[in-house]
Amino acid sequence: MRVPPPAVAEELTGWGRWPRCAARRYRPARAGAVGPHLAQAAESCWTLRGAGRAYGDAAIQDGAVLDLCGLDRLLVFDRAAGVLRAEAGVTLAEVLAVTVPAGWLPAVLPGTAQATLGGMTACDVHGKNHLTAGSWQDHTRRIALLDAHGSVRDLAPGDSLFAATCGGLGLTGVILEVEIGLEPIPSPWVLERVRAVVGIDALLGALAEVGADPRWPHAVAWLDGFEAPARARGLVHAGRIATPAECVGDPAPTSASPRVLPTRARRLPPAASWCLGPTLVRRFNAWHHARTLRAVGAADQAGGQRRVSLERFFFPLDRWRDWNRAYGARGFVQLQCLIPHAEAPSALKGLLAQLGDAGHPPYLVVMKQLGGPGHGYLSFPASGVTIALDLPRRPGLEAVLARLEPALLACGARVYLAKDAVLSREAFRAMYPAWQRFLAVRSEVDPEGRFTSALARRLGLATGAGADMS
Amino acid sequence: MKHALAGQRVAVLGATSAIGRALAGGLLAAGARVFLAAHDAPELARVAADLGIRAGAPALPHGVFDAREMAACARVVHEARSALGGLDGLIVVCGLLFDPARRADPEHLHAVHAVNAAGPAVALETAAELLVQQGQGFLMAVGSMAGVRPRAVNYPYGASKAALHATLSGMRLRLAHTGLRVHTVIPGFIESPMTFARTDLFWVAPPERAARDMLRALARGRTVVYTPWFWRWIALALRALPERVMRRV
Repeated sequence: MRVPPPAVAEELTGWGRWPRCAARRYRPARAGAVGPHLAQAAESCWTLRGAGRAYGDAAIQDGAVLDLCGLDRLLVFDRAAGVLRAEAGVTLAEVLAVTVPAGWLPAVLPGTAQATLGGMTACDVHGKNHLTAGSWQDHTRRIALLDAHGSVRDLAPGDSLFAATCGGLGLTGVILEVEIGLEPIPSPWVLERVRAVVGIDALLGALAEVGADPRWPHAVAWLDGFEAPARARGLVHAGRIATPAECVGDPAPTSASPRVLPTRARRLPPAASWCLGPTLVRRFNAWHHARTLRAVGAADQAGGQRRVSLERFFFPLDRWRDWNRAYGARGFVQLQCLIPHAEAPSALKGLLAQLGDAGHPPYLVVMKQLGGPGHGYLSFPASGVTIALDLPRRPGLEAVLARLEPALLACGARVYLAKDAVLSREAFRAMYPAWQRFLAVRSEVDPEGRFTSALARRLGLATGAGADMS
Repeated sequence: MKHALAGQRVAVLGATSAIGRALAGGLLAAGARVFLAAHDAPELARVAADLGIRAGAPALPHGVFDAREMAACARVVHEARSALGGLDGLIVVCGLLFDPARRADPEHLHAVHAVNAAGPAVALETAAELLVQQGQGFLMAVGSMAGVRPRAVNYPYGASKAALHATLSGMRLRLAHTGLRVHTVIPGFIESPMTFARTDLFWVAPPERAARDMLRALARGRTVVYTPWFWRWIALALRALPERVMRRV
């Protein structure tokens, strides 16, 4: 059969719904069809795409996009040793539905369970417990990668290609299968402790305190982005997997019960995007703050603790399928950057103040602590505080973000490429000093630059065929 | 639904197709024991592993067969029976689309009829013989709306599916008092690699929906199932149209 595979011509975006690209989306239905797709479609360069949960343009281009969500088969689950091998299009939610009832959990959980294993590997995702657990690649045992020549390579930690592929944003080849190690869990529940704080300094102090406390491996903080940083109300959430003694009265999960991870996500009403604006967000922030404290205070006399489901603690927004639509057709940009500890208080205050003064207060502010450096050439984690800011794309936003770049570079910050949509080439090179080693490894496995993306072109990572605008 | 199918031993032929996978997953969730059969061996192994892991079951029994070979179609039913220690039902989901570019290729034409009509007929008759001896069981095969009324574009496919529908109707009559149930499934457009990127289709349903309708039919004993339900009325209308009108459509 030499008939070219079919493609859907459609507009694709990242999770932020901007930028938009006119793409031809191909969708191999099985792992065996990926090689023939690449060979038989008359395309010079490809962008690889999973669930499309990267916020910016890492998984889009004006051209051919290979949608790998059809590779959705679980392959091996060793229940005794806690090892799972699956095709790259399997989502984290599907993994959890199988592993949690068996008493296992991936050590690293990003903010959404809708991402695919391939996508998580390509972004080298981190969770709320980076200080103790590291990033996704620290628990990846094997990767099966299809390179541009059509051969399948088996990658293990220690290979330079492994270090290039983890965090490599789909630019080294097609991740076909991923094998991960899991951690045993005593229950599918999380014990959460919430503290209220006022002001960035207090928030950073509380985060550091939780980070130093081995009883609470997971920590994340929320801040009201509409108030002045020195006075803003904030919440610091600490979490750990609950012991069975703390789960008295709850049904034990069975392999047949999907209720461990409630998956019925609701659609946002269409009118939500019309309502979302500064007034609503201010009200929401106040309500969220009060409601959380009330829920935590009411649930437990020990002050500030409650037991929540895994999904509630780790993936709070997954309840709303397509919550990104609340930002409307213009979409939004998420700026997530890591700031070294020494610079963190002043840099964060400066960042929030600048955004507020420019008329672009962030609608959502989430912060975490990160530990040692990631091992991939383009890995995001390094020691410091990471802040994620959701910024609706109102006129002037891109100019404001461009003006922020020098300040970020000056304080040694680094932007997370999985969320990025606006970083300049020069800033990228300064933030990721291993970019040249990455390109060297990549040129060996993909000399013609067949795997590319809009992000790769923007940051100067595209070579050969992938560098031309098709 | 769990109630009716729990513990039943079912063979699914064509288990690597979109509907086949969804159906096998639904059967396992309902407590049935499943034997998977398809012609793509590596893919079948993956699907068997995937379904087994999701169902919390050990490795699922599976076997390769080529629906173009009549002997293989009979053999796979016996293989399923020995792997499962008995057989309570057979579901045939095989299908081969007709490719208009290969209209002049006799092998292709033959393959379409073999995979869609003759092969399933052999498998169904083989299973019927086994099930009649135990006095209970079910047979089910997936036809197509294309088999309701031949169309100029794809009548070789439609004809083979029409033959399958007739086979199932005839078997229903022959086996009427034996305790066996024979089900015909007639889907409209279903999301699958066959229908991906086609802009001329409408009301395309996910395979999980077809699987759910099929399992419901098995549990409730409905013998002719259109999935989704509204295709029944479209079929009724299509059968009534005079050929003169069909020429214009």
